[in-house]
Amino acid sequence: MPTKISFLSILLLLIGSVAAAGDLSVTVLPNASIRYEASAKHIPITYTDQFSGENSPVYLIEYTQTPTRQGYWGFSLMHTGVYGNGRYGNETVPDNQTGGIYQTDRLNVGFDDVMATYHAAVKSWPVEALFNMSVIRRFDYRKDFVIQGASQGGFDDINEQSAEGAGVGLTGTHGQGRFYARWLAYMNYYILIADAKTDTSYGEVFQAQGGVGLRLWKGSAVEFGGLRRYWYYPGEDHEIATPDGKTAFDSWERQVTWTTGLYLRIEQKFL
Amino acid sequence: MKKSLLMALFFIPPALRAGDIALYYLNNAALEWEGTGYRDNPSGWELKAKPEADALAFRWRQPVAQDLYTQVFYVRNKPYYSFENGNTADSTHQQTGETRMTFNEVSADLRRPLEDSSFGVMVGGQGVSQTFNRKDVLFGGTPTSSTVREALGALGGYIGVYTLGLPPAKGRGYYWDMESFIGHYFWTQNTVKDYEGSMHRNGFFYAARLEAGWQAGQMRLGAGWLRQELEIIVPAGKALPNGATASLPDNKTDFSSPFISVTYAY
Repeated sequence: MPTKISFLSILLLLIGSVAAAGDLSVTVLPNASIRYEASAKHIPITYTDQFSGENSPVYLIEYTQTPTRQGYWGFSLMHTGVYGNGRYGNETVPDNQTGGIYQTDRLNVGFDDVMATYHAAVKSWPVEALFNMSVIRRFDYRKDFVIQGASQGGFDDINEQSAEGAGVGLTGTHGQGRFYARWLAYMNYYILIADAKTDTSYGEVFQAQGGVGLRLWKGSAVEFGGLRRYWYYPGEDHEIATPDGKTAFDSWERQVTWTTGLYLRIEQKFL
Repeated sequence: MKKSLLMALFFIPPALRAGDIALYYLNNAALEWEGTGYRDNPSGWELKAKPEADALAFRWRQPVAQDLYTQVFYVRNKPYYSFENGNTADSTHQQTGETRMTFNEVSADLRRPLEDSSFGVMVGGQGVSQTFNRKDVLFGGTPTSSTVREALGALGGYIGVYTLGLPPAKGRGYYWDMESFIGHYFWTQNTVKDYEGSMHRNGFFYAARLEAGWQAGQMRLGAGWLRQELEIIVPAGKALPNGATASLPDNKTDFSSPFISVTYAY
């Protein structure tokens, strides 16, 4: 519960601090599908892990300067994970040495993505080019470990990894009246400058979303739509020792996360 | 190389109406491929090949409406057999051999300037074909007489930015022509996949072309640098009779080279 309170506090603080001018929006995917795929050369035990997937809320808070055709800045924070009431899925690591299962655990795949975006209007079109700079911090929470059939009791683990990147995108809003349609797509290329458990590497985020909205009153609007986000990055395989002396796997060399879901977006323009 | 000329001849007739066409010569282009992946048998998890060879590229840019342009770019290397090795840290699984890598890539996009800016944005699609002919493969010191031909393919979309600075039409002066884009592969294919595993079909790429030079009338003579990286992720995996790896699911290719170019503008 304290984690939920802290996230809500940050959210309210952000809303209060920027409410003087510009546009503020809060997007929530209440039940997004979080899928994760990973492989590594934990030789000779295993090459891949298997994750059942989970359904968790995803939050996106965006603040932009008042939009102009000459260009303006925006800042956003995207979050999913246990701090945002994220759920756990089942992770299974096959044993390719002796057959059967080497490790099972409960896994929550979470991340924070802090992004600064410069918006520039495309000539004579209701479309903007997006130039992004982004830092992603990934948090993998694992608990309820069972290794080679033996429960590891209350042993749990957090594996954190970071990626820093830049990219380009396009977004458009169509419709001047009460109803509008909005779409967005961007692709960011990442490097990993410094992180907790992996070497420098690279990767990509591709995100696409689209929805329809209803303008309400005094600059407020509500929007419904769908979002899909692909995040691929090679890191480094990593193992940890449990108190019982077992080896647990908590990081992989090739990691992919898909985030897919329907969203509700509330926007308020401050003039 | 014959295919390159055929492609060029295919694109030249429509280009003669307007726009500009350019030929690029990439001297000793560095093409570095690294394949990695994990399979349910221990016969290998990485291979690397780093051939350097000349390459040719072709570019056609054409206005299609007011402030709206299309561009097609095609590049192909000159393939030859070069050294390939893998698993160098493990002598029992170490693999060596010869591979002949052929790289074909075509990109097509629509581009439009930004408001009050010398920059513009583009959105387009890219297709890439990459073939590997492997022979003389040793695995853990054991040879095999088998050869294998692997063909990778990928299709994706990209978004990017460009800037173009030209002297007045038919005038003389310096010019620059630069672009950079990031893309995502939505579809990938591999012909060699006895063991497919759980790997997804996806991938990504980025590219940058930095070009500058001198324009005289309708001709431009330029030089610059082309850089690309492609990551093709595809279900793959095959073992040769001696246990060697014939294909891998994660294929990363770096393509980098300085170039000289000749452009004819209408």
